[in-house]
Amino acid sequence: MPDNVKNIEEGAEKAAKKPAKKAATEKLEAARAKVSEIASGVEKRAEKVRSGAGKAAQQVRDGAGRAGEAAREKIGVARESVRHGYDRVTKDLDQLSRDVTEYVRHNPGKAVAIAAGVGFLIGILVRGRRD
Amino acid sequence: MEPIGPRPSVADELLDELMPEELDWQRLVRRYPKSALLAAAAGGFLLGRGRGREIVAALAEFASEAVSESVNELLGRKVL
Repeated sequence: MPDNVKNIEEGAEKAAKKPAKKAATEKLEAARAKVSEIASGVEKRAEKVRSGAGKAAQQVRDGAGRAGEAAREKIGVARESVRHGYDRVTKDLDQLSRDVTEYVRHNPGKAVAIAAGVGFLIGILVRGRRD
Repeated sequence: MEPIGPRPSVADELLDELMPEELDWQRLVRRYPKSALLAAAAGGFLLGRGRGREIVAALAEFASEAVSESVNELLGRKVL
């Protein structure tokens, strides 16, 4: 084939490719814009999610703090109540011990007889349960 | 003249009978009240566990005889 014919064919081919290339470029640009738009949307949503998670974490922290404070308060009240009860029981036991000692000193025979009688009854009951 | 003081109870008299004469048990009990109570309870427990039924039976028989004797004496003839 002569060279000039070949050049003509190549020129025609190039001329035919130009509009196609332009269309492809336009489509590529459009696709890039779309991808950028989608990426921007994803970024915005991620930011929203991050913000929401931060708020939720803050709320959880606040709730935990309040619950901890309430629990500490209740524990304090319970501890005070137990201490009060313990003091009262100790005081009552001391008083009872003093009363018993006083009674035994004034009535030694009766006190010994009562103690021996109570022990005797418990002994009978224990033996009866074992037999 | 008798010494002035609280009248001894039946339990005091019984313990005076049971305890050896040289042992001042009242002084011991007044001096160590809690230990004395504990010892008495322990002694009673051991006695009750070991010979409880026999002692109760003997006491019941004694009481029954005493009641019978009193009733017979009251009525002037042997009823029980």
